[in-house]
Amino acid sequence: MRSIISILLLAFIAWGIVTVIGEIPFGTEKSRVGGHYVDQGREETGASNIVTSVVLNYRGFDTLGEVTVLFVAAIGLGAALATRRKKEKREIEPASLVLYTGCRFLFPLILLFGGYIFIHGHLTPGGGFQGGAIVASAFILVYLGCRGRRISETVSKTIESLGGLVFVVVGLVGLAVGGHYFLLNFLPKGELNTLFSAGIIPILYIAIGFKVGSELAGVIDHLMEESE
Amino acid sequence: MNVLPLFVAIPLGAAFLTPILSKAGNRISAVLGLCANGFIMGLSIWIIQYSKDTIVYFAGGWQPIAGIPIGIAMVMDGLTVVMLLIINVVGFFAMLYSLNYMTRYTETGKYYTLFLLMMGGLNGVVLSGDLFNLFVFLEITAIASYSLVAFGVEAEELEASFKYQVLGGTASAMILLGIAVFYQLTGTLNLADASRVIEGIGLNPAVIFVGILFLVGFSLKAALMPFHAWLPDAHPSAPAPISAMLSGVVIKVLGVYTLIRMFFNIFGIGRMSFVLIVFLILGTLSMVAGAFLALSQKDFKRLLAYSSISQIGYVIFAFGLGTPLGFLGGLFHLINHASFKSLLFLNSGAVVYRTDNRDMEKMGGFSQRMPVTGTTSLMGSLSIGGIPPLGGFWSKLVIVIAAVESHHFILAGIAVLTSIITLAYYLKVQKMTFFGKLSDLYKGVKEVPVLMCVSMVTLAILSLGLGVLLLPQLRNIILDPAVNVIAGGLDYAKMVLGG
Repeated sequence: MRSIISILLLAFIAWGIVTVIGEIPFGTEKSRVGGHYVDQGREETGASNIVTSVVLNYRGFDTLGEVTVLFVAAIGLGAALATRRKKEKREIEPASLVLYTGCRFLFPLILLFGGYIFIHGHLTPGGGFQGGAIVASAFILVYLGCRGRRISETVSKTIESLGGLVFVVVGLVGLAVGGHYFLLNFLPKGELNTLFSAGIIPILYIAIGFKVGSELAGVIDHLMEESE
Repeated sequence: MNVLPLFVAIPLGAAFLTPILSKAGNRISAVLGLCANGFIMGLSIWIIQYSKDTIVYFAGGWQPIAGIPIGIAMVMDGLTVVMLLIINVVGFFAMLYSLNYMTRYTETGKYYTLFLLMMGGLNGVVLSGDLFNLFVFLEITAIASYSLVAFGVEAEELEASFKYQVLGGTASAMILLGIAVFYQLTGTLNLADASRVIEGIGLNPAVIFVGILFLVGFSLKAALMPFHAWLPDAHPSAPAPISAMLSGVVIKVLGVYTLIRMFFNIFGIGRMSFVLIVFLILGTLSMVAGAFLALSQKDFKRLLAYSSISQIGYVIFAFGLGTPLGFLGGLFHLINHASFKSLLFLNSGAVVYRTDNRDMEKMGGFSQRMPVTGTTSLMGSLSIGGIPPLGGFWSKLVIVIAAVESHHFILAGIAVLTSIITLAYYLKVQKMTFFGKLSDLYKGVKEVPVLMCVSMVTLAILSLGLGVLLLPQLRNIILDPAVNVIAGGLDYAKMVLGG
């Protein structure tokens, strides 16, 4: 019975997708707004990466929401695992010398690379989310290589919260100055294709980079403790 | 209207602050949360004066180019005003109640963070004029409520939360698929703009496919009858103030509001008239089955959860009638239900707070020891049972009149009978819990602390007196503008984008 229902449901969704593809004209411009972003995006936002200009400027309000979704998930995980902590420490087998040394060598380089990705989010492909994920991967490496090392929960929570707070505060400053618009790009746009351009975009992306990095590292930390 | 983004920014900002401040003590996060909620409650009352207008606000200052919105729009019309009032008033009193109630739990700093995030998400959903933006805020609310349901981290709570996540995740996946197809079809995410594009496309199979995906997805969020399986586990498992928020506000915003907005204002109910029939069927089914299931419950909070399914059934049934009087009844019942169901969940929380027990068979006679809880729960029970002249009576009356007026005589009869069953099981609650003989085990039970009492008394006054919303002066500024938005249907696009 259950499998029949599942098959029927799948068939319905498959029918729907096939129908939809049939209805959508092929080869024409589908988006009503895409053309504007491509033609005017650089000029209006000052960011030479058009994806960034959409993510953080035209649709910055969505990104505030997305940053919050990740924050909710991290806090929720912390709350759900809260009482399961406080287990006695198990003896941890140290990693081999090669792995240990390799991790110590790579850790700062990965951090540097992650930082580069989010600081240059408005110029090159990448941005806060990607850079943050790279930063977090450096911490996974430490967890694997230098076992027994832990990031401080207080520090990661503080960075995470400050990152979110910067986003909201920058948005509110936009509301307070100029045209009274939340998340208004109120800073000078600067010269296209230089590091100091695109107004509030780099500030937001740096905040997101720190936030996502510490958030994912915190999530890994929670789950690692759980598995021990 | 520069205040619109504050409804989202204040709770989110406060939520980001709480983890830092909670290092200095959880009490500070609680006070901060209360201040933030109090502030947005004040705002939501202040904006009632604009309820007749449609106010559009473009985040980031991106004005439409040649009539096509390029940024994200926030839209506030009569319907939004009513929803904002429900969210923020119930939210404030649930928060006030938490200050005393949550002393039972550890890690309360995280609780206030999650609560504030949920508030921001709820306000975002009703204010958003952009489909994807609406989805983002819907996810914030949903994920925050999954973790709040699991907050006690007992096996039962984790299981309920898991079930809620699986079904909530299914709903979100369907909605997201719908949004993807919708965007491909219309080329825009702005609701008003999309509504115009769909008018040009007409009713092709792809639009119907999106409609069905949204119908199933949002019905799952609203816990209408065949999609209700998660609710009776999830709502009772959460801490009481969260149960009050989930039943009183969250299912209405994520389910009922979104269904109404999408089908009446965006797709146009004239074009998708099958939706009205679906509303009538699902509404009647939820109304009747929810009431019968509630009748046999022994667990206080579980009974309330089934009752929520039944009452949401009334609301959807009223909208399914498709007449302005039906819309009025549906909205009015929505407001009433928010007040008395959150009150009753807070009452159940008060009992749990003092006795650590949800099984009504072991209770009895609590009215002697807990007069405030007993009296307020009696008021809530009578109001939800439809005793005149309390609030619940008037909204059910309007719904029944609307059903008779549109010649659904049998359904009107069913609605009246269900109302009698509702009264029956609430009298059962009263008899088993608050009247009768006090068992020796609970001789030492005392009234709950003052903040919990204040919340309960205020909500009780609301559920007693909400009938006044039908008075012409108040109806004119609160209910009528919202009804006009729904009855206006596709005029939404014109109101938002002009022209």
